[in-house]
Amino acid sequence: MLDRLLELGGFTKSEIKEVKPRAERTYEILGINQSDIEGAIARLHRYHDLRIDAVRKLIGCNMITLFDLVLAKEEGKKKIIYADWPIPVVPLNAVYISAPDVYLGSPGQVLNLNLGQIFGKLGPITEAGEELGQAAGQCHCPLYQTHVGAIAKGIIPVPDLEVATGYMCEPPGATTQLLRELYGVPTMYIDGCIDGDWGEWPRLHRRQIEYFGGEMKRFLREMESFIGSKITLDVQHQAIVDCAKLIYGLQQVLEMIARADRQPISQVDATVGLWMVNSPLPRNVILQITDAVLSLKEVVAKKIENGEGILPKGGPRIFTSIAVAVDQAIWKVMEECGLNIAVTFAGKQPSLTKYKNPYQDYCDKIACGLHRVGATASSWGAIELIKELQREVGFDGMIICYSTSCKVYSLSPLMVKQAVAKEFGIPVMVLEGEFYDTRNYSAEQMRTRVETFAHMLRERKMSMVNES
Amino acid sequence: MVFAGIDIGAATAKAVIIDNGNIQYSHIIATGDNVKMSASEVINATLAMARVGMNDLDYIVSTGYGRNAVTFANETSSEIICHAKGAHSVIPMTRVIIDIGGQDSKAIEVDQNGRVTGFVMNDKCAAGTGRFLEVIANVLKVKLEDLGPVSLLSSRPCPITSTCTVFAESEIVSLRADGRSREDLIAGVHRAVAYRTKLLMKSAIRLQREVVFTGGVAKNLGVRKALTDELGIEILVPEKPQIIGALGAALLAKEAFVAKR
Repeated sequence: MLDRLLELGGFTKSEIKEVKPRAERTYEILGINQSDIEGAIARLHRYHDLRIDAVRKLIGCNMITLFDLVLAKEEGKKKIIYADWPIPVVPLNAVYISAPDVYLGSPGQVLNLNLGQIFGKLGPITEAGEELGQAAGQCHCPLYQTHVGAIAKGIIPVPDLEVATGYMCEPPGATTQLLRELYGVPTMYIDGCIDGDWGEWPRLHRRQIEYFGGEMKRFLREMESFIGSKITLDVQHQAIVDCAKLIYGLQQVLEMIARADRQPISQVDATVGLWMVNSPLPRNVILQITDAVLSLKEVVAKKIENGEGILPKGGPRIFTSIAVAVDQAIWKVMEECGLNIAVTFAGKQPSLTKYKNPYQDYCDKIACGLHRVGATASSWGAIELIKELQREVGFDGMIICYSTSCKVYSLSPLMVKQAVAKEFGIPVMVLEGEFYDTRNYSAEQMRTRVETFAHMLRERKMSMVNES
Repeated sequence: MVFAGIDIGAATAKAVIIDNGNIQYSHIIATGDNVKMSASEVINATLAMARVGMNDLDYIVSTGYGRNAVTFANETSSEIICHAKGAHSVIPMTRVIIDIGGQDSKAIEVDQNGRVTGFVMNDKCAAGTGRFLEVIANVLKVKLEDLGPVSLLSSRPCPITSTCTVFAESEIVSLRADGRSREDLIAGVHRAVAYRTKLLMKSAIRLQREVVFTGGVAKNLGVRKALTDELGIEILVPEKPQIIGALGAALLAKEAFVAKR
């Protein structure tokens, strides 16, 4: 059964031989049994097009990140460092290149993608986090509940260091304080300003960028002492080039999907690589993901050329801000209801070619790039980013996410809805739930609303065609 | 041509048979715990009334939470679309539909052709739904169908929480212990339902004059009055508000059949 699961992760027979002992040990520690593996196989078939080699390879990369995390101590990593989303990954990847004997990763993200997306078994980990001070129903971030819960359950090692950032939200800093109290784990902070001005994005204020960039520089210096290696400019450059190649490849895939009349592949398949990019990764894994993404790009291009797609031509095309980092079900429901998901929030970025990143300094450049993502800058940024995407892609409607446990994403949805309706007059539906915690919403329960919304968009589109 | 619409809701299963767009027969039963069996039972009862057999039906559309369990339906449609269709067919001036069923409540905005242009739905909490009224009727030992007439006797409705059925139940027990009358309590509950519905509507759709109230709760005169007071406009109620979803499904069945031909 495990061989079958690993095959779905794109591993060849000889690779399975090599990776199987790691998989067995990892799943033993996690308490994954045969029935869980059967369930995982069923989930992968349900949510992914496993005929596409690149998709399988991306799922395999995902599995590797789990083995690396769970076995970090046993496999003799000298130091273990955790840094969860929304961490700036490029400087951390530079740390990884400089100290390959160190483990550096995002436990919350890795567990979301594996125990969440693949096994659908994240609940007990999140609950363990809830028991340790991040109580249920109190709007705590489930990502950080998982981060703490996994350490508490002993399924991942207690780290030697936590890295936390405050440029976007406060749970990372607050959670690392909890971990210091519980396990004596020290934290290195990369501070930042959340307070972007109204009307500022995409031209960002220097104080915000230079402060965040300055913090990254300080972090790199402190990290050199911690790992005992120099993080040279060449290494930093290598990290940014690796990441840029991967992100550029992903953006090309997402761009093609955004422009296609007929959605060529499911967004679930298109974004497997995207979620992994949010975690620091060893260089060899980044290169493997990049290869898979470039191969996926070819598949998507070919499907578009042949007029193939997962939905009929001419169907409604939407933007959605709902994230599926833990559970792919809601996107599947949307696609099953006939909605072409052209763009997702964390996915295709608007082509901001008219607003060049003006910074030359390595860290400032990264800081500017991260704040450019829009939602991370301000509610204004989130609204404007979505409006920019609407101008570029021309959606028939939007499904906006009101995330009940995330302050960053809980304020802007209604503002987005109003702004989009006012400027473009397209229907916008808001779905609420905690999409990082499957205990707190049901994709099937949302099916009625999604189905009705799809029907509404189809009728609207048809009447517009008839009128014209 | 004979078409059927079946609405399998959380509390009741409804079937409507139409001929040339006019309601010929309709029937309602409790959904119970076996949705498939309820679907068969309700359609068979309606067919018997119409004196036709299943094979005489040209097209069937199912709707409601149990729509996918209706294996003999030709297609399914969401209850929002069906309520819009049904309400617009019986009251063509309809622009907004408030549907309060056993498990959820919805507000739907339609255009002059009965097409859905916006909607909002509460399905996370029983507060403001038929289930809420059932719980209250049980606590106050009043028959569900008597809630409306009893509440109209109230002179001083009690303020009741509108956010949680469980808390509202304990609040009512406390108020009852304080000597508040049954009439005032029920009227207070109806106000809470109406207030909850208004908040739901305000979040997503424009309040327009032609508001039609559908679903089982629309039969409750007390909720009708409370909604009228809360919204500040007269609301319209079809003759058989509970079967509007099934009617819409039957009309969609007819449209689908014609389109396929």
